[in-house]
Amino acid sequence: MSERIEIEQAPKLAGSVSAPPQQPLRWRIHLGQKISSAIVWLVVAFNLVLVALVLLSSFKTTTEVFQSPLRLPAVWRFGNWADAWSGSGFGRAALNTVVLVVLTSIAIVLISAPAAYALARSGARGSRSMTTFFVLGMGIPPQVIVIPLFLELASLHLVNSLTGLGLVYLGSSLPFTVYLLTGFFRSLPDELEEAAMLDGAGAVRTFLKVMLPLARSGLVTALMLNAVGLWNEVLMAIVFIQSDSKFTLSLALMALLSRIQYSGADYGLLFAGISIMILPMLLLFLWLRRQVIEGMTLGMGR
Amino acid sequence: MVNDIDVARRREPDALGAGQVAHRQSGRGGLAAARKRIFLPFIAPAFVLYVAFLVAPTVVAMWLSLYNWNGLTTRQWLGLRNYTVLFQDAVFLASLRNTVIILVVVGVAVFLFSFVLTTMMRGMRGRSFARSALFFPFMLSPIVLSIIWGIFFQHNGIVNGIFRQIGLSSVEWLAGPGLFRIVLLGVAWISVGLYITIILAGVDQIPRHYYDEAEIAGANALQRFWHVTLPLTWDVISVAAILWTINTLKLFDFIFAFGGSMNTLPPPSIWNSALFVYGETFGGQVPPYRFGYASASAIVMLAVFAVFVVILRRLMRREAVEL
Repeated sequence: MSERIEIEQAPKLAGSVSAPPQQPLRWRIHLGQKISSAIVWLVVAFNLVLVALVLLSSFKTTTEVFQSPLRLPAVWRFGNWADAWSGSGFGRAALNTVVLVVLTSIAIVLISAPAAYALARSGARGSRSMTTFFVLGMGIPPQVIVIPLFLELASLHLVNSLTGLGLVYLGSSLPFTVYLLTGFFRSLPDELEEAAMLDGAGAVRTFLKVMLPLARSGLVTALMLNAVGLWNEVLMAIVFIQSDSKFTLSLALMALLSRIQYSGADYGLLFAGISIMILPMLLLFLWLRRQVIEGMTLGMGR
Repeated sequence: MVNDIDVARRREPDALGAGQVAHRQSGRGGLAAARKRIFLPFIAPAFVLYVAFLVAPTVVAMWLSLYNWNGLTTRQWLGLRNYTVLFQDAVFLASLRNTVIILVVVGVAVFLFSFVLTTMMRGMRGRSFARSALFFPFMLSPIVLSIIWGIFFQHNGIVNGIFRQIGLSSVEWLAGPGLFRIVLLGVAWISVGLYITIILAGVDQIPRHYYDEAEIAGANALQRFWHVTLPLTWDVISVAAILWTINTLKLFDFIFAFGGSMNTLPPPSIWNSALFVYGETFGGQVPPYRFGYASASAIVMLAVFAVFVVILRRLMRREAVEL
């Protein structure tokens, strides 16, 4: 009897909380759900504790880092941060990275957006095969192109230059960005675009004034994902940059790691450097996490 | 407002006068023509940069792979000799094997773990927060995660600390063949958040009543997963599988940081494709600069992965399920 009622109610249940446990089966499911939530929260806690430990360790001595990882530092050593910032070159590296990543990510999106719009909506002959041509680039890993790029940039005198590194980033980020934005532009309704054009707006004006604002969430997502990827990039940076003064944060961290091998392990300093590198990403994530996650998964789904 | 009127007008062509129809048609034709006119100028900048910094280098890499060259002395034509030597090079074969192990073994583990966790997270309270916390490591530098991973498993590290506290003897995790296992575990750890997020987005598209009906039919969690979740998220999963393949091929930084310093490479037993190319060219205390040889290895890896992607697409292709 109760089963029949459940069948009748089932469609109405859509989107609501599950019915209260009445039968052993229900009860078992309920218990199972409790256990599985506990497991999920355990994994979540692992990630959160990890970040907390990293930030906390940046104020400690090496002994404290290992002997009492979970305790607060006896004395808060803000000096670790100062040492990492000025003594280990993280200050300059942070500045280099911010300028490089911000300018490059903006350039990537500015160049990809019109291309993605034209590919998604122009209906011109060849736009399908052109889209495939761009998408194929996503499968080319850095190790294939790094040697020719090195030779190419050497002939342009752009090795050991942040401009050169920026160009490398620009080229290798275009396929993914074009792919992501093509998905966004394709999902926009036709009507507004047609209406704008019938009102006498030119194609360029229609793109700038109507379509670009509509795709804003896609543009922000593309900007974010590129910024995160470039902020953490290593292989190209380590090949193309040699002077300390041009180091990015990845390189400054690797250099600090090298130095620690010789001068004795100062893990407080190491964690201060790590914190300088991850804190901006942490703040960016807290600020835009919905945007990042949803934009990313939307882009994948299309 | 004007837009609304325009839309309404276009939906009722009978109500328009002849002149207006003509105007409308020229407007339509103008629209299509205008869209086509912008095609080239809109695409040109992206196209030029893409070709200059990605496509051309790929072609040059194929050409370089036929030579012996260190970038300074004269190039020496080898034909396919680099390729035949590669397949007798124990270090290359190890890095090829490692890359494939990461692709297949870690791939299966990551997707299984993601499935289990997403299934567990369905209808959980505080799910959005949990999703964020699980995704978060994706934003962090793999070097940082690698350093933390090393600290976990080093001789006096956290894992051994826990082992000693519960009365077990400490284990040399990072010595010998154990090191690669720790690397595999670490790669799984840094990757899983992204795939949980993607698969979860697919699961969220499934209407709730499918699960209710399955539950009423007496399906257990595994059956619900098999008959509801898996078929209805198949498209998302196949995109995620391609993404995993691409990301595996690109993996460099997490393994590189296991060398422990800027100029020290990790032991060749844990190299993958990207480490091999770097190790044969710019990496190490005395960089070997074997541009031709390293290019050949990169091309082989690219070919292996291209074949893998084609097979994957074949295997995963099927009719789309309408929700």
